[in-house]
Amino acid sequence: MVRESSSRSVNLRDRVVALYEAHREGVYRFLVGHGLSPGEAQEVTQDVFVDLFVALEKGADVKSEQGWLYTVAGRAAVDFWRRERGPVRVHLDFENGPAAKVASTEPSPEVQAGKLEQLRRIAAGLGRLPKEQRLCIQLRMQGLRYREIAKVLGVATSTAADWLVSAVDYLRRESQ
Amino acid sequence: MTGHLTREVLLRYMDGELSNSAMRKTAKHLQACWSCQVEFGRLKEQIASILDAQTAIFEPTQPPAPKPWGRLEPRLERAMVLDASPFWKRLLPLGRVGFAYGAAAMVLVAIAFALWVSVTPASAKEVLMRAAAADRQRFALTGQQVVRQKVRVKKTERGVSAEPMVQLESWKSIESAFWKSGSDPISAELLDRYRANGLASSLPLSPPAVESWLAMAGGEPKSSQNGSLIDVQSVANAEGRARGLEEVSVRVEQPNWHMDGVTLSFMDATYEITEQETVVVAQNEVPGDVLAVLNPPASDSSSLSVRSEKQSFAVRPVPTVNLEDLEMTVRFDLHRIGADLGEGIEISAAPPDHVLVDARQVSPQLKAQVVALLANMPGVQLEVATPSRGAAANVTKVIPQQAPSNTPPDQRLVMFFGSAEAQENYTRLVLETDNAVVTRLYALGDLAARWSPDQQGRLSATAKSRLESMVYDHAHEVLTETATLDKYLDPLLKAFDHPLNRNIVPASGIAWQQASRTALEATQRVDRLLRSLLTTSDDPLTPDQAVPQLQQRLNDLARSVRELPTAQ
Repeated sequence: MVRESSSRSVNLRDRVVALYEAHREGVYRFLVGHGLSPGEAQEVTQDVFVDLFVALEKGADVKSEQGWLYTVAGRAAVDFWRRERGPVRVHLDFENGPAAKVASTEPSPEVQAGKLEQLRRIAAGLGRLPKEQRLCIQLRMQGLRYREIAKVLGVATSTAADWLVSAVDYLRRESQ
Repeated sequence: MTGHLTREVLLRYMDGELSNSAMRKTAKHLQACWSCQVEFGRLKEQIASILDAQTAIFEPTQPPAPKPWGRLEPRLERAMVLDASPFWKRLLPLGRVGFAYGAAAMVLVAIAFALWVSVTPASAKEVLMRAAAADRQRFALTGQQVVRQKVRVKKTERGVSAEPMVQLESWKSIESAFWKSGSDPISAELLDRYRANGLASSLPLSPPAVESWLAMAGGEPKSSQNGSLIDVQSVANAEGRARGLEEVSVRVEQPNWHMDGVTLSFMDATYEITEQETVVVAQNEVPGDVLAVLNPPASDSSSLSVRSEKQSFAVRPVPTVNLEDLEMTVRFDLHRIGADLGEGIEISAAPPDHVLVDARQVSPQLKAQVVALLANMPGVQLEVATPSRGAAANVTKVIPQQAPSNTPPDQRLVMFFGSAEAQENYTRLVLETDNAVVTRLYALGDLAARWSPDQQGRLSATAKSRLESMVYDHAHEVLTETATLDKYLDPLLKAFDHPLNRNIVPASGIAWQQASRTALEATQRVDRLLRSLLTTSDDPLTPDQAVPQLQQRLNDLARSVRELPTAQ
């Protein structure tokens, strides 16, 4: 019985380590994008994966591991906002970041440049969104349902839906 | 079918977040309506672009992790060991000898815990969670039911001894809400505050409203118990205060975890909302006028489109008006939906008691948004009637086309671009970017013309913070767009031996009002030169004439733009 339990833990550990290798950068950038300092974001990223491991060990019903990771990361971001109580500013380094080279299937350099410019506008818009709206849209990108997003933010589902709609509308205007 | 699906409905449909009946209704409408199909297609494209922007630009531009990633295995193994140990062993790593002491200590801890539980109320978060769950269950609705809520609203204003009190009746169906505020100014003001917090479809006293106000306050909620009543209070943090909120206090009856009162304290006034009655009733018991609002006859048309048929909206009275604050609120709300960018909305204070918003020249889509935003705002008179079906009704941005010209094109420009199509695309990109700078600077110029440094100094804290927020937004965009414009123009200028000068030292200590005027003048000069060089213009210039001037003007623009304020 003990051996069975131990073997299950080892399997879980290997699974979480594989997830860590695949998703740690994404979770880290998600946290930095919500205001955590790089050092703190790196610490919290590891905590998120340890939490997933503990939850899986306890038999939690985790339907989507990736969704779970971002749910926990989202809660960490909300806790951070409550603790810091200051505005969250996002800095996008268009000049030096890899974003300067976005691959495109468009044949014409002008169309490519236009598309890149549009994406930059949207990315800049993402950076300027109110933090709650940015969290809504980024959690939705990770496949979370409205009620799950609302739970992370501690608001009603209808409020999360309103924020999501506002965010999409704002980014639409920014892209034009 | 006359109405169209709103973007919210389309997004919820796409996300599978509508009720089953609404999903069916929306699918049926989409099958029948080309306009909505096209809008739905656009929405999908927008979502795809947002995803691309997130993965290709937003994420990669975040700073990399400061240290190499450590191995996770040691931490997981520690977690495994902890999890595998029995609870008492984790608490008492003392061996057999220490066990007796440990057991005694545990008994003492248990006694202390029991005493603590008997005198300590539940945590604020737990109280709120239980109350929200209980009220959601209590007022769960079917499609044929609505909630009717009667509350008493007491308003206390800073420096005013009178504390007027009104009764407010409101209704809520699954999808919308209606506040029967009538001509009562206190209810109308409160509704306005709820709208501003995105709570137009909530009852005054309901879990979504309370959760949203607490989220806006942003502080750590604390609970205190008095008999069977628990008070949960949250003092607003800096961000909540910047939005005008000071404190939120919620009262919960403990036996049934029911929220029966909420007090919202703003900078200028406090509203104490106390429940008198909240009941679930069948739709056939609801007055016709209320039902007409909750369930509009054309089921696919939103209340927005019903309202937008109106041409003008009479001003709703508001008891004591600080017109500058009200005007700032209007401008700030319009700014948040992008309506201050070249849309031709005119806003003016109309003493003694209202602000006039003339939105007659804006596009129909924006008009609907403006109506939804301002039609019920106390103290605002909104004009939206389109003067005529003339050319002025639809303002379209015109990107100049290369038309036949008497002047032959400069061969060096032809060589630089390689083809007419490439030149046209380049011109379009450059002029769009230039247009974005001009639009932002006009918006900034409007604010500068309206509020001089002296007037800005006399604004209330909320109004000042809103003004600064708008200025920072515009300035940030101007900086971003001018950097993009430089990037587009630099190769052209280099090709004609006049590269941009990057060593620009901005002047310091200039008020943003002056800086924005200077920047606007500079960008207007750049705009004229670009049109003379790249488009068929009444005043055409060759590259030899235009490029040196362009280099100089772009440097002037960069210098003046760097004088604009940016958020720290």
